[in-house]
Amino acid sequence: MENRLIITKYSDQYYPPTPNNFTLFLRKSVIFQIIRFFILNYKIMKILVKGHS
Amino acid sequence: MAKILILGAGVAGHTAAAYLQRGLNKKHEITVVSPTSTYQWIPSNIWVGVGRMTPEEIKFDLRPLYKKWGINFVQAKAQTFFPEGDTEINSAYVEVEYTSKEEAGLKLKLEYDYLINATGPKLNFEATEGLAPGNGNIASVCTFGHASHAWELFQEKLDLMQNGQKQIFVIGTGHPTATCQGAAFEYILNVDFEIKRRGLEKFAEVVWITNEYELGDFGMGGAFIPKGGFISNTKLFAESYFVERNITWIKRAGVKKLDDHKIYYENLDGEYLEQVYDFAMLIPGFAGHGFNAFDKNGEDISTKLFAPSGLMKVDADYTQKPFEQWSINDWPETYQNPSYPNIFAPGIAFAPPHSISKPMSSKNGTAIFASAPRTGMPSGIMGKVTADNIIDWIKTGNAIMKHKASMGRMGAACIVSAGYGMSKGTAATMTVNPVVPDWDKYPDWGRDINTTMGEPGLAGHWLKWFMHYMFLYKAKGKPFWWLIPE
Ligand SMILES: Cc1cc2nc3c(=O)[nH]c(=O)nc-3n(C[C@H](O)[C@H](O)[C@H](O)COP(=O)(O)OP(=O)(O)OC[C@H]3O[C@@H](n4cnc5c(N)ncnc54)[C@H](O)[C@@H]3O)c2cc1C
Repeated sequence: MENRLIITKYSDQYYPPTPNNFTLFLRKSVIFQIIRFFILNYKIMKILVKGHS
Repeated sequence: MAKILILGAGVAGHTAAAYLQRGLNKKHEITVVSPTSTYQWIPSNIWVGVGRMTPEEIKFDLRPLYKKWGINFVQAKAQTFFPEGDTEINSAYVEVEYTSKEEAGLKLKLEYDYLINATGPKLNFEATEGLAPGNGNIASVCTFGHASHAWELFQEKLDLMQNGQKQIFVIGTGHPTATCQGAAFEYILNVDFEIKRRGLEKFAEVVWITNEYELGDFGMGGAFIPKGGFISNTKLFAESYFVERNITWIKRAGVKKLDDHKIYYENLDGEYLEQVYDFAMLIPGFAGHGFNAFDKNGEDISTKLFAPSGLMKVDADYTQKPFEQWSINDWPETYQNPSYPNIFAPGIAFAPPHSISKPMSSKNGTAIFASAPRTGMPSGIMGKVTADNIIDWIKTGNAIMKHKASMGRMGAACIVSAGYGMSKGTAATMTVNPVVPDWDKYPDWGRDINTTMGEPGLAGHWLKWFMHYMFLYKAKGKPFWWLIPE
């Protein structure tokens, strides 16, 4: 990580946010992701149903 | 009895065919014309291109299904449109040329009362010198055949890396005004994932090259998304994804030419630059198929039916206006041709009124920006809406056009795969609502911030995997297929 920042200083690659360990953990946590799976499905269905008449 | 002719058996055409046969009495005649008899679930080409699926897993033969549904299937490509007929044939028709081995080259005139042009894009590889897949180190994932070749080429590169040889992978857009960045974005993430899965990252340099002004533009002007207590945007989202994976990027780049090892591009500053590569997968420009149209007396009326891009004119507002005056009302709702109301063009086949991203030009006058995408979900919805309107028209005798689906009012979901695997896979679930920002309705962010999102995680991979099987189930017309949304 440190290496990347030194190498990319002042370039476009230097500035974007990077996920911390907790975020990375949540992205892989099976229990959390099962819950998200249902929420994401629900959100997609919501926009789909409203999208056309 | 009404004759409905559908050109193209992709997302839009096949969806329309499915709903038409379901909604209409069998006395009506539905004919589908397509150069190949297979249906392919294009989004899964990404997985074919990294060897995680075979072409057989993403395609199936349409002929038995159409036979069961009572749909005539003609394996041919449409060529010339005669929307008024001609001096000999009184009815509207399309001239098609057979493409099957046995009948290749033979021509046929197919008459219609209603025509659905769902021929999607012409993959315009010729517009970029040297871009055609199969040329040396160049791959494509636009069809299952291309994707399968991409996997072969990728394997060669993996072997070289295994032998300690460094390889540069350049993935992105291959034309200054290309669209479909999302597909290239998925492919670069999957290529990177597969390299790392094999522990070969120290032999690989992975580079994104794009015509986008900023990363995450995706041809829809980017999107604002809620993230970590802020309203963030897809620029940060895409950049963060790349930084996390050590993928570097070149933006505002209009690729003009490729040879075996170099990509030549111009950027918005007007500089002519080069990028070396060992493996390139660059999305080509999209165009119409170059169809011609003639009236009853043989006069060329191609400009009545088609825009200069070759895509079909529909109920959009094609008045030229500056970016600041663009509105969602410019976008079509019924995909009906204004000159011939019995002709429709859902999916990529319709000519958009303009791009969604702001058009930009280099100092040398080269247009470098992302064209408007039309992803699978909107294409399917447009196909369904077209079918519903034709069904009503046939049943009532009136062109009421009750069913509408504007990209300025509908949302879209796109699951951006970033690695295959039920426990180690990942994908970003992205939704935008609406696809075209509506700054009048949503003056702050252009879109509904509650239903526009980008969320990376394992659940995204499950969703993408689930959708692969669900949409193929639907496309195969299995029991209760119509309960599955587009
Ligand atoms: C690699 C890749 C990944 C993608 N991933 C996603 C994704 O994850 N999510 C998403 O929403 N979208 C995705 N898309 C976009 C999606 O595939 C398209 O939006 C969708 O296929 C468009 O549907 P269509 O029916 O307009 O065109 P197509 O699906 O391209 O269908 C066109 C049909 O017309 C036929 N045809 C062509 N010429 C003729 C002719 N002359 N006469 C008769 N028929 C003809 C073709 O054979 C084909 O059957 C992806 C695209 C690509 C290339």
